[in-house]
Amino acid sequence: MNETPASEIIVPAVTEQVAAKPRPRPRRASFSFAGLGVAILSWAVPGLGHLVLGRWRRALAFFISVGGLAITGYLLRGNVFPQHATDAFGRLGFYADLGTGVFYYLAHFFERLGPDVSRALGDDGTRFIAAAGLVNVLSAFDAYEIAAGRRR
Amino acid sequence: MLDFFANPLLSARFASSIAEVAAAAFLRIGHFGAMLLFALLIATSFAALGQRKGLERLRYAIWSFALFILIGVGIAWLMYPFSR
Repeated sequence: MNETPASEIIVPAVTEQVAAKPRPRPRRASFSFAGLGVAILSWAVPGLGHLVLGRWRRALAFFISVGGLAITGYLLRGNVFPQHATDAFGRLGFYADLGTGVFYYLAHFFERLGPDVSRALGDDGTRFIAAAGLVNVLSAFDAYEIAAGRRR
Repeated sequence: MLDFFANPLLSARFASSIAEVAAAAFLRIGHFGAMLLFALLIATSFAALGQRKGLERLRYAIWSFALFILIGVGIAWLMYPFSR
C-alpha cells in the first residue's frame, strides 16, 4: 500500500485562509495635541480631563481618590518634599508630590503644623501623598489615551 | 452670615479651624484605619483605570480592596517575629 507521509499532507482550505489574510501592520502611534491638553488638565485638577471628555464617573473617582489620598497624607502630617531637594530621594519625592497637581499647592492649608515623620503615621502620610501623585499621573495618561482615541 | 463670607479673615479662620479639627481626628485613625483608607482609595482608582464597565468594575474594586487588606495583614504577620 502506498501511503503519503504525514509531513507531506497539505490542507488546502487552511493554507488559502492563511494566505488570504494579510498580517496587520503595527500602526505608528501619532501624537495628539488635544490629548496633551486634556492630560495637562487632568494633572492640574484630578479628574478634570475626564470631565472634559464626558467621562464624569471616572472624573469623580479620580478626584475622590487623588484628593482623598493627598488630604489624608497632609492631615497625617506626611512630608511634602520641596522643589530644591538636595538628594536624589528628595527630588524623586518632589516629582511624586508634584503629580497631585493643585493639591500640592494646598499642602500649607491642610498641614498647618508642618510634617512630623517622627511618628509612624506621619511616615504613612508621606506615602499617601506620593501615592496620590502617582495615581494622578496614571489618570493623566488615561485621559490622554481616551482623547487620542486609543481607549474607550 | 453675609459678613462671615464677605470677611476673608473670618472665613480663613473658620477654614483653618476645620482643617485643625480634621487633622486631630485623622491622627487617631491608627495604622489599620490608615491601611483601610489607603486600600479603599487605591482600589477605587484601579477600578476607574481599568476597561471594565458597571457591575464588573465594582466587583474589581471590591476584589482589589480585599486583596490589599489580606496581603497587608499577611505581610504584617510575616514581619511579626522580627519586630522585637
